[in-house]
Amino acid sequence: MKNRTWYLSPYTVTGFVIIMYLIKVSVKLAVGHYANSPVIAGDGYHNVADIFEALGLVLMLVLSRRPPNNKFRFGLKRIESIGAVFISLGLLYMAFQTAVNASDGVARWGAYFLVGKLEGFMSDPLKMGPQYFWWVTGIMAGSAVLSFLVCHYEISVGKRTGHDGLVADGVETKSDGMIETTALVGILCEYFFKAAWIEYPLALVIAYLMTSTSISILTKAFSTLLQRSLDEKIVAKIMETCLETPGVFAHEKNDIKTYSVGSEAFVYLDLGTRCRSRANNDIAHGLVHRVKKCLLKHEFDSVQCYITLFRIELEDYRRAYAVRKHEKSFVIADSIESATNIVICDMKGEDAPRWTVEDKTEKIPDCIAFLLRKKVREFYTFYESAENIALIEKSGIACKQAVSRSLVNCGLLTD
Amino acid sequence: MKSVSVIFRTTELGRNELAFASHLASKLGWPLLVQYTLPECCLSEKDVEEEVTRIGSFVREIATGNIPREIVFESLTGGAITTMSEGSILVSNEYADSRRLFSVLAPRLETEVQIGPEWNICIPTSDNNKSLKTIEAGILLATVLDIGVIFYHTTWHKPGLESDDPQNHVCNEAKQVLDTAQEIAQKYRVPARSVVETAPSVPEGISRCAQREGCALIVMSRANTVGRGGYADETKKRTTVPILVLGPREAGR
Repeated sequence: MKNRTWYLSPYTVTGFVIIMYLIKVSVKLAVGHYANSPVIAGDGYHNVADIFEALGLVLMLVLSRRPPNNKFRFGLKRIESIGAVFISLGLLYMAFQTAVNASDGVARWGAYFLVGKLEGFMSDPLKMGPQYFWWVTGIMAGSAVLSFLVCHYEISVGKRTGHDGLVADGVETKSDGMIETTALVGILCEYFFKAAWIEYPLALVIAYLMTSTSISILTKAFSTLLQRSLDEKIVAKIMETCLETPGVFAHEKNDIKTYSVGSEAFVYLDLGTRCRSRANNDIAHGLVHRVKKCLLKHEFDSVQCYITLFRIELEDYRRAYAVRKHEKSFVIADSIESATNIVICDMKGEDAPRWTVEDKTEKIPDCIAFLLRKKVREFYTFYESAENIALIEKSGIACKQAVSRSLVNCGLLTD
Repeated sequence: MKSVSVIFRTTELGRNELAFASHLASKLGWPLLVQYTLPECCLSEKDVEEEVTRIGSFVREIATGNIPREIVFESLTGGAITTMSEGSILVSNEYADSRRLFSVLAPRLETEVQIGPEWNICIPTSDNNKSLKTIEAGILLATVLDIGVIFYHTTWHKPGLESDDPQNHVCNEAKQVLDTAQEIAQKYRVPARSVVETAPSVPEGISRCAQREGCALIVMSRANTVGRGGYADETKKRTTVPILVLGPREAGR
């Protein structure tokens, strides 16, 4: 989908992300060292890594938007999923680090409340004099607000343009914002209530949220890379749409393969029809349109649908009718004994495109031998004695009762 | 009395026609008239009774789940159908090929008329007011079946006009017919939409539009001035969508 508005371009968004991190890094490092705050300075160094991540994202976007070529016929769109895997692994590491620090803090504060002794933190406790309070609070609050704004921008443009990498980076920025908010809560609690411990249980909750987010990004990225099928309900709905289409038939060889890359869905359909090529072209034309319409109702922005229609061949076999001659026409005979002739039909499914009339031999065993020689599978009379049915079916021919005596009703003659 | 008629055949096509006719009759609330052929030989009353009983159970077996309010059996002894009451529909692929005095619905290979909010009836329109009766008949059918209507019009390119929008190439007479069609649909409160395009050929355009727009049925009539290659016949040859070709009485021609 082309964006004609400059601020909806993925490159513009990434540009904003890099500018945001540059501002954060310079302000956090400057203020962190000035205020002697390891929390702010540490977060500033973390943001340096984010700048490199954003640069990697630009490279990923450039590659993914390159048109298909001879070597990569389907383009390089999936490189974003590879990028998303790395981003989510980074996020997972961040979550782990946060969880370890937070657990350590919770344990030590727990011990403090129980024993009254607070010592040996893995991460340095907050150290700030009141003279730095407004600086530190302002920087952290501004940084958190900026993170949430940019994350919203990244995710919405990423979804709109179908760039998974941008969405993943947006989620990562959101986690940054949450960490900054937690640090801010810790600073405020320490300053106003002397309750710095609140930061640690909050950080544990954030670590949990980061973990679940990174797992969800990882799952989505692997689903794309491994071409996981679309949701079962969607696949079933597509198949239902296909089978409702006039001219498409249920068949064991009918097949549907689906997957998605970002917000683009791919559908490959093999469907059975009994039509000629012109009608098949119309069916495929209509189906592509209807499948796209069906998927666009879901979360997809674009759909590529490829349809192969195969012809369902009807079974060829032979059927015979015991008939009785009446003047110049024939009627289906009551039994094999009362028949004067046997009509041998070359069947195609349930239709008989060709049939011949053969004289019936007098004796029933010879008649059965004749049917076997003609490779007849089904034999029809209007009535039949149980004795004859047993005799015929013993030879492997199915003996059946005709619904009507008229050959017209049986589709052998026209009016 | 209006009815849905079908010619009894035990072939696959015949069974499909029977199932379709039965479903249509049950949805329209009309009786189903099953017309069968008696063999050209002297049958006793008992034999005829047996014949009709077997045909009856065969019909009921096929119509399972869609039993019409009434099933009438009629013998066609002496030849093919020649008359039917006004407004009735004959479900037959075979009879739709030839010019008839009555309305014939060719279900193709379908066994049910698709019904639901996402389904429509495709009614091709012309630049001629004579098609308004066909349009009204199609809309009336849509009201009973509770489905929408698509008015389809394909137009030639106006020489010298460079616009890609087919709407700009439609002549005034055709526009007027489309507007009137919309008014009729509004009158009957049937959801309706017009599709205008410049298709390579009329039958292809109709068939593709019907497939694309999810049409359960195409409703057309034959112009009595066409010698060969009538759009209704050509569309019927091409499409897999069930097609109802209205008789001259129903189409007002």
